[in-house]
Amino acid sequence: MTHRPIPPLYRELHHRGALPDTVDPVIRAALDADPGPPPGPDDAAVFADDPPEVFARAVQRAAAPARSPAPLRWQVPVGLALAAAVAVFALRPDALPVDSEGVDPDGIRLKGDLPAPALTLLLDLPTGPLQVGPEATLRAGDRVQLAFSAPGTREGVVFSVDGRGVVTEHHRFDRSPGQGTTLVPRSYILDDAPAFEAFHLVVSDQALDVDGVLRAARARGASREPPEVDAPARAVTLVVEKPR
Amino acid sequence: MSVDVEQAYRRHGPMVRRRCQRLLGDPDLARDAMHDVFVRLVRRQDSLDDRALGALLFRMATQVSLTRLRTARRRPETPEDALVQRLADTDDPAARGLARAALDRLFGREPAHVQTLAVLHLVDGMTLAEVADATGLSVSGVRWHLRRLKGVVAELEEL
Repeated sequence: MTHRPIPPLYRELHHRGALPDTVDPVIRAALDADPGPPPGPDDAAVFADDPPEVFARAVQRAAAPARSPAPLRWQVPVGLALAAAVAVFALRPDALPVDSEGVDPDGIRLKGDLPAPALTLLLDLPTGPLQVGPEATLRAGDRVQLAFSAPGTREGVVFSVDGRGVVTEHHRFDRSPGQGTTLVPRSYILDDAPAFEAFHLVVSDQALDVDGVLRAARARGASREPPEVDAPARAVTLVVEKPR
Repeated sequence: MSVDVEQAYRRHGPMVRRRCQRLLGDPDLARDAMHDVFVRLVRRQDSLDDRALGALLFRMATQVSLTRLRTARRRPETPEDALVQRLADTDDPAARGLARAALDRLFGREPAHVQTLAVLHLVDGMTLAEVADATGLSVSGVRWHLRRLKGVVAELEEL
């Protein structure tokens, strides 16, 4: 008998009758003496939660290249992502210098004359989420998470426009998001739309015609430019590149 | 290697789910992570070796779960707990910089496979030889990675 804890991998493999021959005989003997099931949900419970046929179809769908614009699918070369983003934190344009044309040095364009909201794009990489800067290079396949802060506002919408002119609404709100950073409830995977993806945050401290904003964006088609909004509405735009 | 997803899931899915659930502690998060593991398996099937699919999936489940734990620390579901938010909201630039540096070093810069090695050895109790066997690395390679990781942790403790 061993006083070593039995590594979970070996208990699992023993449970399936697949313990490798190379396993320490002491561990094997301990498992033979106490072949109890691995802790956690048993096989039947797992299959009840996720029936094999349904699960397999869902996995195949998720693994296949995306064809539709929503949810978006992104793939970001890790090197470029690392170069573009060195840490995870909510970028706050109101803490950044903004030039006279309303374009801060990092390329996030601001419109309107009220305190600037902020839009943040995080990449879900194997090493964890990384912030993506404007003009980072992306491509179809990997997942991103949007976050924003819009203190003092009441209504707003986060949406994107891709290189095909497809407009995707990611999140809208009709009450103050508070002072901190709000995470958009879903992450997204970028599809294969070419050229660029422009992410927009439009907010207002008064009633905002969100549907009108989206209609205008659709009418404009494939554009990297910030949405045209009338004060007191404000817009923040973050554009990333998607070379073929 | 060509993967029959349904067959692989029937044989190894429960193991993957249990592994994810043990590390993540939540059944729903574990189901989501399990899905992610099999998606990765399909996407990488052309470059994988099927001689030890069970051990491979166990390792992938560990890695996916660790990544999600790191992500959760940075991007939790509950905004009030969000480290991202706390970092963003702090008014002290020095504190924000320090926190970010520490997180970067501990979570961001260590490759996921190194963290997987650490969990297999330090949490699961596998010997260096067993970790090497399960991961396809040499024992000296495993030892080197773990020594390096211990060095990073020791540095952080001195911050």
